[in-house]
Amino acid sequence: MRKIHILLLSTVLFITSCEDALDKEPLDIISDAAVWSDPALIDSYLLECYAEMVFAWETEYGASGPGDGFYVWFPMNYQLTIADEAGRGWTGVVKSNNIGPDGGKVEYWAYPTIRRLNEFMEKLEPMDLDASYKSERMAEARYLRAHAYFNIVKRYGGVPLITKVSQLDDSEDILYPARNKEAEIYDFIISELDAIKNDLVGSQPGRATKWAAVALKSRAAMYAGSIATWGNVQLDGLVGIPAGMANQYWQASYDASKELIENGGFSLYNATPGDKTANFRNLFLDEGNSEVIFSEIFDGLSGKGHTYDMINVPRSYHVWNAGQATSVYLEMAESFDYIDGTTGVIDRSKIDSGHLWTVDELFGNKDPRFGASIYTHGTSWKNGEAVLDFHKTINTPDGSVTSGSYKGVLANSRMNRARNPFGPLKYLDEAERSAVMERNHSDTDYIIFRLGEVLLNYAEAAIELGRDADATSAINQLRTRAGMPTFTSVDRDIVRKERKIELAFEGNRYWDLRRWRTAATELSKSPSALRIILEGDSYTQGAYDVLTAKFKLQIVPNIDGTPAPYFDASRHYYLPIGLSRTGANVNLVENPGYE
Amino acid sequence: MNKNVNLKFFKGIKPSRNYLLTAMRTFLLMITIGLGSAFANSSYTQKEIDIDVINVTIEQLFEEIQDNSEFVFFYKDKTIDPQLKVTLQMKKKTLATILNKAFYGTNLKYSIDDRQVVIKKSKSNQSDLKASVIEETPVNQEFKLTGTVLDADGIPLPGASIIEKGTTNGTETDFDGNFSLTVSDENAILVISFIGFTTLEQPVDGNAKLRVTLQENDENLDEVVIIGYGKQKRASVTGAVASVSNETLTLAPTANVSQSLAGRLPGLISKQESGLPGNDAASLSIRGFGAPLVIVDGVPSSMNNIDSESIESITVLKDASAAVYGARAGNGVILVTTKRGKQGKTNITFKSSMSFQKPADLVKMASSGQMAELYRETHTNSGKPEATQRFTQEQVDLFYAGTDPDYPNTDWADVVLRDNAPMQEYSLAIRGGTEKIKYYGNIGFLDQETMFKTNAGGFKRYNLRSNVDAQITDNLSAQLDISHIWGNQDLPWRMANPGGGSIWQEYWNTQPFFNSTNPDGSLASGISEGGAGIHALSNKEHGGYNKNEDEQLQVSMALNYDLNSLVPGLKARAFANINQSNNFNKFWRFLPNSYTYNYSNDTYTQGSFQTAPDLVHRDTRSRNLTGQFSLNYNNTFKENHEVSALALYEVIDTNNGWIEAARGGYTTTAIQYLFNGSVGQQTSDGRASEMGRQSLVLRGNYAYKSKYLLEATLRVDESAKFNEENRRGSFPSVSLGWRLSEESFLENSNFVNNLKLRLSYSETGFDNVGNFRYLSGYQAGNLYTIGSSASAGLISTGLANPNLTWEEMTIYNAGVDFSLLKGKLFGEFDMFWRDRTGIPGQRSVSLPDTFGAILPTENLNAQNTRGFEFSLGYNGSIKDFSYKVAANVSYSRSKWESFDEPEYDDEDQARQNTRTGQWTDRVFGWRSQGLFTTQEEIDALDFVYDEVNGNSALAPGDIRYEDVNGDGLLDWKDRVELGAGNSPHWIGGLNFDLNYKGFDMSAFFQGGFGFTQRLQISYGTNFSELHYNERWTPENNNANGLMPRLGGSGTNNAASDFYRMDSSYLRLKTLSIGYSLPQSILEQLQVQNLRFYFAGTNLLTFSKVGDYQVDPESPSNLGGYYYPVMQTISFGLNLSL
Repeated sequence: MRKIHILLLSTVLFITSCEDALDKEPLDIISDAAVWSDPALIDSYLLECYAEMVFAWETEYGASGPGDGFYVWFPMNYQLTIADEAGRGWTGVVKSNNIGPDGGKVEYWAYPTIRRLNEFMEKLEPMDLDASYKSERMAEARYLRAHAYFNIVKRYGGVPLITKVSQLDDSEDILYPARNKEAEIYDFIISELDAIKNDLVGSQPGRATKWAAVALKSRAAMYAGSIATWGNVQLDGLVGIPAGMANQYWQASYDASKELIENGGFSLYNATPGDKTANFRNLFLDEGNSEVIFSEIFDGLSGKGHTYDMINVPRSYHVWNAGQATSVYLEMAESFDYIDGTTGVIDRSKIDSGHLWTVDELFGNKDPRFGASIYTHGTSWKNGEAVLDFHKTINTPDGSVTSGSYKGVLANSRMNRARNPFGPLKYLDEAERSAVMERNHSDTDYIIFRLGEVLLNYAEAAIELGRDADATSAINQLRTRAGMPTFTSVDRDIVRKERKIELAFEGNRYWDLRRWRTAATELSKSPSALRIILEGDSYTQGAYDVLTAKFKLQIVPNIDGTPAPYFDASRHYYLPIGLSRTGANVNLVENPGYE
Repeated sequence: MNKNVNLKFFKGIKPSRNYLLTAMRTFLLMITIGLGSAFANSSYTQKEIDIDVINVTIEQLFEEIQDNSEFVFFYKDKTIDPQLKVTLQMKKKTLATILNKAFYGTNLKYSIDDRQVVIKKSKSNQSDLKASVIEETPVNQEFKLTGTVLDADGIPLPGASIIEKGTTNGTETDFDGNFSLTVSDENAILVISFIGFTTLEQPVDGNAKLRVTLQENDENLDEVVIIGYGKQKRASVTGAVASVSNETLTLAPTANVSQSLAGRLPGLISKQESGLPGNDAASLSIRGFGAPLVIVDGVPSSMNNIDSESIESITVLKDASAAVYGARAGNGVILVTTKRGKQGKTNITFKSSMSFQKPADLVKMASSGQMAELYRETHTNSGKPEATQRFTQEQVDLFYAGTDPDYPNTDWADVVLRDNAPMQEYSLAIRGGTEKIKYYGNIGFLDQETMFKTNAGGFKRYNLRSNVDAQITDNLSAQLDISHIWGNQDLPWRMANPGGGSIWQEYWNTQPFFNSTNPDGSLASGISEGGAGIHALSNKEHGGYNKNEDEQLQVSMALNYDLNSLVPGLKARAFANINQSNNFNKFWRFLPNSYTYNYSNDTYTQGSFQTAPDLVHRDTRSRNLTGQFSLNYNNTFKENHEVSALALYEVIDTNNGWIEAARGGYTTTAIQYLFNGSVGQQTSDGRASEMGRQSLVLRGNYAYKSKYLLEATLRVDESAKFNEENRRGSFPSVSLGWRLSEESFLENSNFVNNLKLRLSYSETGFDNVGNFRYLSGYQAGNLYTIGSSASAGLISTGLANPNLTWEEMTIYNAGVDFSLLKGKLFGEFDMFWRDRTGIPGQRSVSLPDTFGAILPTENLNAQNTRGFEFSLGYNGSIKDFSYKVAANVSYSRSKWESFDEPEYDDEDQARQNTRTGQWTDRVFGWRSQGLFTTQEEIDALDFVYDEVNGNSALAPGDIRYEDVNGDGLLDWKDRVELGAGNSPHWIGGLNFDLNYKGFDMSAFFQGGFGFTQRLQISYGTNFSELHYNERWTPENNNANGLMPRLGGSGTNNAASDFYRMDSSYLRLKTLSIGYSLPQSILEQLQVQNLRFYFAGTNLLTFSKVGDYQVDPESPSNLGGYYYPVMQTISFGLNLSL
């Protein structure tokens, strides 16, 4: 019987030792109470709200959305290819099905972030913390909420304006909110920004500042003015703004821009006035310079990186020999005029006559911003280590060489697979990134607001308000910095064209075309490509030089093939609310044309 | 222990069958202490005793024997005629000899099981028996013989019973399976039986030396099946339980035992979706319920990577039988039991096999000429200008001609894949024991290589197991088990990924337009845009690797104590287990430089540029502690009332954690350790979690006359996953059985020998909802930079739901077991209904997303599942030729009973989105009507494909869809239900076993029916040869063509029934043919058994999707884009000493 005692004893001991089996806690969760008493954790909470904003790309598509091949990884690139600036370099066109019944590719519904911000404000309010700390954090949260509303109002028009945290047991009209009018949302954004701008006293890079708030007001009020001026009021104002309100918005934008230009302390970047091309290019690489108002900071390897360099480097310089995922259209390249002010459109009759071009003749005298924004045939790469070569096929005395080689030169250059000999150079960091071109390794900051844009906002509002002289002055500041001749007077078309050139590939173009209500025209065009046919006679064996060799040009129309891109003016100026959302909430009225 | 107590206690038992009491004792012993040895040993039966009694009653004789030995006699009161007197004077005789003499001429029969002797009356008429014995067994005709009883593998069977037919004369085999017996004459017939084997009638035919092989009988009523926390005789089982034994699992070598289960067990649905070495387990689902709980030797574990040789049996609990596992049992339970020691001569077995694997299906790529032609066709058809064609017609011709080295036609599959990837398996096992110590030990080794010939590594596994049972005293026994599994998966890093981002992406992007080698020996580029190519990234030297070293150590100890002295029939058991799993992952990745050589101007063009390697180490540890304490009781009252009960307390404590360290920026690939990376590019991370549960299990069984069976269980579970108010749950079950074959009207039937009806009801749970969902708080979120460096934000875990608890399952089951024609025809039928409520869901669908929060997980939704299983088998033999045919079929499908969703106003939304009341696996899409063959057909359409562009994008060769609602526009409203989802509703298996002398053959067909998958024909940049041959072209203007025109309308890719195809299949899953050497040769070799065999898996497949070179079991949408399931051919030998 002794053994049985041992057995029982050991069993009892064992069970006792296991008594805490149910006494378990999560090892990776910080409790609610701990967060709201610790400024470091409160800051982290707000950091999450910053991180969720779509500053650098206009789609949440990149964060987690459904697969669209590689584009999941490259959302920053995406905003270029939905406008008339560029097409996708690798695979088919997406413009034609950009907006679908389920929202499409720029879908963004900011309510999770808005709730987080509302919760932040409600939780922070009663906390016994330093007053100046509290007022600044509160103002930051309100800034971010205004920015989030701006991002959704420009897509859907009026949306439900939610400024309180709703709970599961709230009444139905709170849980199932109806849409506010589009004007109400813009009014909310503008009044919030006015209310908080002076509380934003910080100046750290990446944090919302007073001048970020003013710049956002400049942009948002301009959007509201545009919609009042060129849009139609539908659904009793859920979309569209009455024309009578146009001037007040233009004025608000004008005032905000003027305040920033005069008092913001920013100046146009002009570090190397002697080399206009390098100067304009460095504006986007020289981080935190005098022109930058607010930027999203990327630091590459530490985890907050993007993939812009990896996918947009010229093909041969990509780790996988891919690259140039963005293929700039010929029409976009031609929008850049020559330095003497003449049109940048290539003379078609000269092409037809079989004219032999050199790189210098074709691109040498373009607007310096062309060489800073676009790489092309003859662009120097990696500090002169190489010269980009886009030729496809060689013209010889015996006919055309389409395969093999001629005088030691391959019939097709390594980059001949590019759909267009133009790629985006703005923001591209060839020097550093060529070593570690991997996903999320790029550390170039993305500029959310810069003085250049505010000057253009100012010019645009001035034109609409009839203050042409103010507009001319603003445009000329930019032209002078760029190295282009100035204007004695400007009109709406000049302002808009200057905006297209100055802000090329910065993510504004698509939204500008929409608010001007010109997208139906501009985005329904079939874009073209340029083909460079090397002239075999123009070089000798072993002495091929891209810069001196001559070439013929051929225009390749309809580069994106079928189906033709289209933008339906009757509905596409607003994204659909979407079946799943209207299905879940009967109070959400669908936008016109999608019912 | 005083055996007289025992004797008295059992004296009143009335056994209803010869062997029943013995068997029941054995069974109760086993169920109580859970020891592996299912069979009582026969060692004691050989004890020789002296007897000297004069004119005593039989009862006095028994007492005399009991006093002089350890034998215990059991019999009912009126069995023995008190008038019967015997006189016996014998020296050194076995009990059998003594009893044969004592019972001679009486109607008494005996059977001896170890120390237990059961006495009962023979059914035969007393006087007839006497007469026949007297008349037919004259003393001078006695015939003496010896023999050996073996199982099919040639392993001796100790304790088998040998009885001369029509008499009570009999004996049992000894340790070595040998017996000797004196029978009435040389024409006598021996009835040889052993638990779990088909009883054999063997004519003596004058042979003084017999060698008898018994065949195992799956349907033997005495078969013992493993059930939750114990064992039970098949005849007493009242739940839906299916099991499969080692022999079936090891018919053909497979790297993972789960692969051997497909179709074997009715109601078990399996699908093998990958053939990747180290990741090729089949997914298992009982009755389509979802992932089941897997219990290995009593504790939750994984069956993957267990050496199949060491598995004794696998049991599937499908209904109330699973309810003893409570909150985790809702999807059913799979019990894996490993082998244990057996008393008797040590048996050493060695198994070895060599297998050759090749893909069961592999897409063949088009040639370079064909592919270039398809590129041109795609480009032209999508309206793009000729100037931007990748290849000119001239270049296409050059590819076809194949004369210009710059225009090669490389068959990359030929370059990187081998025809036969070897797999070797070795296993050595020893099994034996004495009365005191029984042991089973096994050491196994598996080496499975990949299908690549490019230094692509593979999977190696080492298994070690030791199961020891010790009888410490009469009452105390112990069990000590150790299992160690070490797996090493060493693969190129891209290969370890499934689907996109895997090596299959490379397979579809590496193009025939490129040479596979360069004249200077540099690495050739195989992809015009993207990586260097499949040849580089399937090579660990060129691209790096992903190594997983998995180590699993499982140690158990149990003590069993017999408490008969306190309460007869009561036993206690304490059990503890440590299950420690470690994974060490090393991920070393870079991209090599690659070059294309241009023959025409003798230049090398660099393709990919080497990226600096990075190295990630991840160390994961998880530990599971299980403790069980149980009391087990069984007894029989008033002859007919058998009662048993179990009370068990169980506690489980789980701990997991991992740490990760990484560095990038390596300047060389020569040193692949952390210290050599760049300090500036180092990161680290780590996490941990813990969990616990405790449970009380109560089970009671009652049987009346072994005819009416009742089982009731109750489990009370407490889990730390849920908050204190909601963590306790009670899960009751009850099941009933009625053995009609024991009723008087069937008892003597020649047709029916077993017929049992079963009914069960159970409530169980499924608690796989994540831990601590009842708490809200914050976790690390996304990165953002303020100032100079990025840091993570804090993200709310969402609204908490303190009421969250497990899903609740209610299963109703009705079944019948039958065995007819002396066990030749047997089968089972079960039908079930499961209600599943409280399925965790988020109220996200019915609440608008303007709410903005991650909604709490709530026990919201409900499903029900219905189905049935049917199995039927037949055993037969013609002379030396014996055969068995067995078939099974199962069906199951689920509906949403209720689903939290909005009430859709729109009738099309309601039709397509509403789930309540609908099958769970509906698939919607457009209905197609083949391909357009003329422009006139398109012009004649009375509806448009696109609101803005109309039908301008359409051309002959595009898919013709149906405007189902007739509103003139093809849109989402026209989507109709296309059929069932990706998992089969019907599963079937068909097995043939044939034996002829030394030859054996087994063929097993398995099929899945009633499911569909979306076929994708092309991935990446390549086209298959099939695509080239079968696509629509103006020349192949076939409305029923397999594929639409290239580069056609975007609507060709829409979800429709054009690509969604019935994937029903039937495949020859296993075929094995073996030959065992005859005894004459074995004796010369001094081995017990030697069998050579050939086996194959997945040798034949019949399926409609095979037309597309797609495996029917492939993951939907990924046929051709995943590591395919292998077809193997194996040669092996099994040797036992």
